[in-house]
Amino acid sequence: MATEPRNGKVRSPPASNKSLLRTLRDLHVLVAHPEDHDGEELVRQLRRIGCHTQIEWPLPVHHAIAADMVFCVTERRTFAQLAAHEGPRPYGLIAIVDYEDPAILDHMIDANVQGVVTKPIRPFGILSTLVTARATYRAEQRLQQKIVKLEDALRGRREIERSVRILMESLDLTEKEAYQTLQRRAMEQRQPLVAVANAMVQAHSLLTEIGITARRPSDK
Amino acid sequence: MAEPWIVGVLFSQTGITGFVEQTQLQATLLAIEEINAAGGILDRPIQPIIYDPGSEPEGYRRFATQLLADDGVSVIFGCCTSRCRKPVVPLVERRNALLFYSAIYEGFEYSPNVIYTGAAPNQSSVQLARYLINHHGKRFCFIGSDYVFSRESNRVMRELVEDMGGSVLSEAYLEIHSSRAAFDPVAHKIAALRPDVIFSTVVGINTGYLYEACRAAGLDSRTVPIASLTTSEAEVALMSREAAVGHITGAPYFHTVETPANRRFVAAYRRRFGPDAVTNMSAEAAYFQVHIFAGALGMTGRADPDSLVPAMLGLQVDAPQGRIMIDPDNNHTFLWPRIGRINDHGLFDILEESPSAVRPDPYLVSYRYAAA
Repeated sequence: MATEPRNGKVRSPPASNKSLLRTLRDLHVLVAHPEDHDGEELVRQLRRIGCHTQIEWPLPVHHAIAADMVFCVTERRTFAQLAAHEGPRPYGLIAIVDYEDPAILDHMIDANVQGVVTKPIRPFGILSTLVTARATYRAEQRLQQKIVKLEDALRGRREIERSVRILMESLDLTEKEAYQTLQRRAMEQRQPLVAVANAMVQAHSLLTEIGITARRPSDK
Repeated sequence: MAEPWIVGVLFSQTGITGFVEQTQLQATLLAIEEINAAGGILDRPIQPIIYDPGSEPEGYRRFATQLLADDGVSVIFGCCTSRCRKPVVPLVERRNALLFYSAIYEGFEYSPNVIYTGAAPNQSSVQLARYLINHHGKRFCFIGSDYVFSRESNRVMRELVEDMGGSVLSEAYLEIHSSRAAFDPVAHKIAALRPDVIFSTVVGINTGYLYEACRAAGLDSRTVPIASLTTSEAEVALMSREAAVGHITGAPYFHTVETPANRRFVAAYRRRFGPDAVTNMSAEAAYFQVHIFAGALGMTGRADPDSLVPAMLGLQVDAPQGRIMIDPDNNHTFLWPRIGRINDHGLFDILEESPSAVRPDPYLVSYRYAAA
């Protein structure tokens, strides 16, 4: 998992689920809830658990949130805003539910919450929800990063295949020979294979556009 | 006669922890009698309704329901093991009543409807681990009764031991109702591993079985002490003197604590229950928690938690172990960790005492914070 910058500092997250428990006291939690009885009850229990806890309402704008976990009351407009946010969210989200009507449930699904606590808030169960939501959030993050990596690799693979085909056609090489040519070139230039392949595909399409095509040695 | 304050008392006189809960019951009654002899609270005496739940969760569930629903009490003093506290907590929560719980336990609980007067792990395990590593060595064997207290206490102790450079050679659990014979193979296995310390979380009458089995297996308390958080004077009374002497317990209170308040407590306890009667950590907590209740009730004149709890939080009491206070953040108690070793009289020689009361931290997950 990548590091998360906070207030200029880079914190490396714990590696295992065991350390997930051990780092509860380093966890920053934002309670997005009015400062009423439920809000205060939740803050007190989170502080008992030992998390660095702040309460704020309404939910701050996205980039102003510097917490690992956010407990947010399922107020319609706030959740619509959370659901509309695109791209990765740098914190886990737990919904504080007081109504279970279908519109709110829809919003919760769209906002991809990792956990739910119900009103009235009672201390028992908060720790379980916090820990499982944190684990779910981190598992999702790891999967997301894996997907990005795999997509990159797949894109690279396609470039390499295209450049191999260009070499095969232009220089009348076998697939193996074409691949070795590409590899040699990458080594000489100390560049990743993908970068060389990419440059070759681009150069080829440029030359083709202006009408220059490589001649096969056999056409001589 | 003024109308009494009715309170519920749920300490078992039978079953696997009956022998220690009996002392909690006596200490509770002693405190109530002291308060009544001094004129009661706001000129009304305290009157207990007492049931024997038989040391089993089902008994606690049944009698707690009876106290709350039929007898109409809003305050219960009681419970010893975690397996018996767990069913009572939701019942007092549902009826907004108050439970006073006077036993050491594994932490990770907070209910606005419970006052915890026994030690949390940061007030017991941390001090014990440090003492054992410093004085006896780094190679541990763990043995426990198979339930939440033992599993969690062993998790904490393992972390402490490993952080201090020690190792755990074995970890074994026996069913909570085990027979004396079941302990022999376990004791022999431990003896073969030649550890420096045996850490026991065996509870109830099984405690005596473990100590006897270890002695029978040739384990000598001078070279391989059994260390415990729950073996009090009450458990020592279950064993032969030879099996008990030299073993070590970490607790906030022993019968032998030298404070003026404890001299008064022991003298009163013996006047009431016989010249040879011996107190212990659970009895002491059961005793001072009634005085905390009385202090708060005297201030508010109302026996419901919404009135009592705010009055109790921050209230200081001169308990036999030292001056204690309820922590307003978590309803647990500031306590005085001590280390004791069983002597020839079946009492504890106190080897170490905390210089001040330690703040309770029931949700401490990682003990690298506590060691600091």
